[in-house]
Amino acid sequence: MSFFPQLVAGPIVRAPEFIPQVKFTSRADSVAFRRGLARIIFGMFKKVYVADAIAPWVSDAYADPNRFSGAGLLLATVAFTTQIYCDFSGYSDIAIGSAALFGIKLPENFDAPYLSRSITEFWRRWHMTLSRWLRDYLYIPLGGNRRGKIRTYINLMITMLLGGLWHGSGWNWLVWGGIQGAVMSVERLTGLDKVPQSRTGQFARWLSTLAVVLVSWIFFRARSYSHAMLVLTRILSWSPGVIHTENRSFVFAVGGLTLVLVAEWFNLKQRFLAWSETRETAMRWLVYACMAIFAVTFSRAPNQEFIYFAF
Amino acid sequence: MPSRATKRIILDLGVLVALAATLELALRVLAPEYGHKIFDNKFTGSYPVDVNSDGYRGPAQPKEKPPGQLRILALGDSETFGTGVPSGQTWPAQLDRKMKERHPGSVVINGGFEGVGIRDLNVAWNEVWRDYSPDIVVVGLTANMVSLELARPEPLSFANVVASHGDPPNRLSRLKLLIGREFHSIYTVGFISIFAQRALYWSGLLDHRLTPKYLYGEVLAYGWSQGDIPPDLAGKAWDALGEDLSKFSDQIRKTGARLVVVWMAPRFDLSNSWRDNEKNIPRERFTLDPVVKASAIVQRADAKFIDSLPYLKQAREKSVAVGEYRALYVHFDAAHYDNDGNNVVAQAIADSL
Repeated sequence: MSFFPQLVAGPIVRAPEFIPQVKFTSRADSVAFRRGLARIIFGMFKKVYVADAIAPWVSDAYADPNRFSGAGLLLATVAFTTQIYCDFSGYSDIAIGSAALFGIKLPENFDAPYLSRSITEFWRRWHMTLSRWLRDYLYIPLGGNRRGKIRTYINLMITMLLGGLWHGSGWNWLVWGGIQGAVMSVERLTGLDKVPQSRTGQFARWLSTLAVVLVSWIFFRARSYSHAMLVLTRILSWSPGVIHTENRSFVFAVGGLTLVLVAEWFNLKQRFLAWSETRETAMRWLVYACMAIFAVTFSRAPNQEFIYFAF
Repeated sequence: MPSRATKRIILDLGVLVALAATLELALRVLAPEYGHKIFDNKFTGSYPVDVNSDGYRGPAQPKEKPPGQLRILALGDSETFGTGVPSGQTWPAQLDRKMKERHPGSVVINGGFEGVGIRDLNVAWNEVWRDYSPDIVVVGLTANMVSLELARPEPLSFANVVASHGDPPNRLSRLKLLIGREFHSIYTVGFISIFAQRALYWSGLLDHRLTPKYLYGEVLAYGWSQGDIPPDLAGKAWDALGEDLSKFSDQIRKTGARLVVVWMAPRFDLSNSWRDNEKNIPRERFTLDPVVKASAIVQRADAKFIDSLPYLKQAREKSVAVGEYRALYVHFDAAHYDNDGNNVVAQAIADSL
């Protein structure tokens, strides 16, 4: 409980993988230390310079959807897609990096989720420790896939509905979980959970998966079910209204998501971490520079809490 | 013996200190404007605030008006007070010099104070300024004064406003002030803070969102469109300002004085370039023209209206045409007029009186 790096918002760690490290195996060496620092820096940049920069523009559109156009709300939702990922995965990177400074290895929590080609795959890559927890403590005890197809679909739905309720006790959370469970069931029923062979097929699946994720984030971000439906309706009917799409908003929404996708496609984080392991002097100066940059930033920028602190 | 790591850190720190010292020296020679970073109760842009014995900026005038004197009272907020400039460079001080060329017996009193609104001016008029019997009252109206109509419904007394320039109440506060002054007299601090602020605005980490509970800020006057701010809020602020200005005008006219209101254009109105709109205010969010609003309420208050923006734009264009770019605003906040800007405003007023 007192291990602060992951206390507030994960990754969710099991006692058998954590306690032995504390008791016997944890060992901080300089390579792990540098890797940990590099990971903290990477996470901080995602949180502070991507997620926090996007946050006000998303809040603005979701504060009063009636005033915003369908296009404005769509852009805000695309922006939120980037914001929530950079916020939460940034936090996880900071937590994992901080633990590494003490020689503790925490499980990974994200693995390029927005490159998924199905919702089933998405949940293997998004908040992986929660998925594992839901699988082991809900899905498998319910019978998993051992009691026939229909029961498997029901178990999937129950697991994801409860996963939704884990985040909050509103109808919007239930719908959010329901979308995940329903799409996963359909994918299992139709075989869409398997990765297609052709590049075109993979691209089409990736695009449709991203669209489902995008729609589901509306229910995640909205205050309530009716609020989410209002946003969705205005987007689908392409309603007129304000578009707070000063060029920056457009850059935040589309540019931010593109940045995330490119970074994940080229595995930039792992490259950076691998680079940090062998570059002692460069890493030292990078840490000095980042300390100065963060000090200046935090002395002026308003505080944006991590989204997942609420759950 | 220090360890290898300790030696390395000491060496790194030495390099960092040397780099900082080089930057400091370079800035002192190449960019002296970064040295004017002291803004506190005694200094503004590193220049003494020099409040006189009666509590206002500039030379004190006797309450009793000498016979034959044309007395002009300048009222307003920090633009009038002259934040960031010496007292001789404020627009009231420059107007004083210009008016003396035409009417040797004229005097301009600078009654401006930082952070005041029309309601505060109304109180100050009754408490203090009425006794000075001015012939003309010139109010420098700013966008902040519009927000203040909603942000601070209770007016400040003149004594409270003057007290803000008093000495800190205890030793610890005085020490903090002293350290702050020393710190801000380092040019590197000014250089870093001004560019850090620009970067934060341009990255979106600092923005112009209004906090619904604390409606301070200049963007509301422009009908700022924001999701959690009611669309009619700017209109309400302007209506409140109109009412207060009419009351103020009535008070002044009772004494036989004339009221002139000058719209003090902020820098981002000059152009949308990176230089002028350095805080990256998205103009797309503006829903109304403050000059139109201000002009209408000033007319209703039976006063004369002057818009400073065309004068400032013209001065800027002229300076660019002769290859001597004039910012017209102080370097540190890009909000308050510098010597040139105040000169333009003073000229605009002098031409209209």
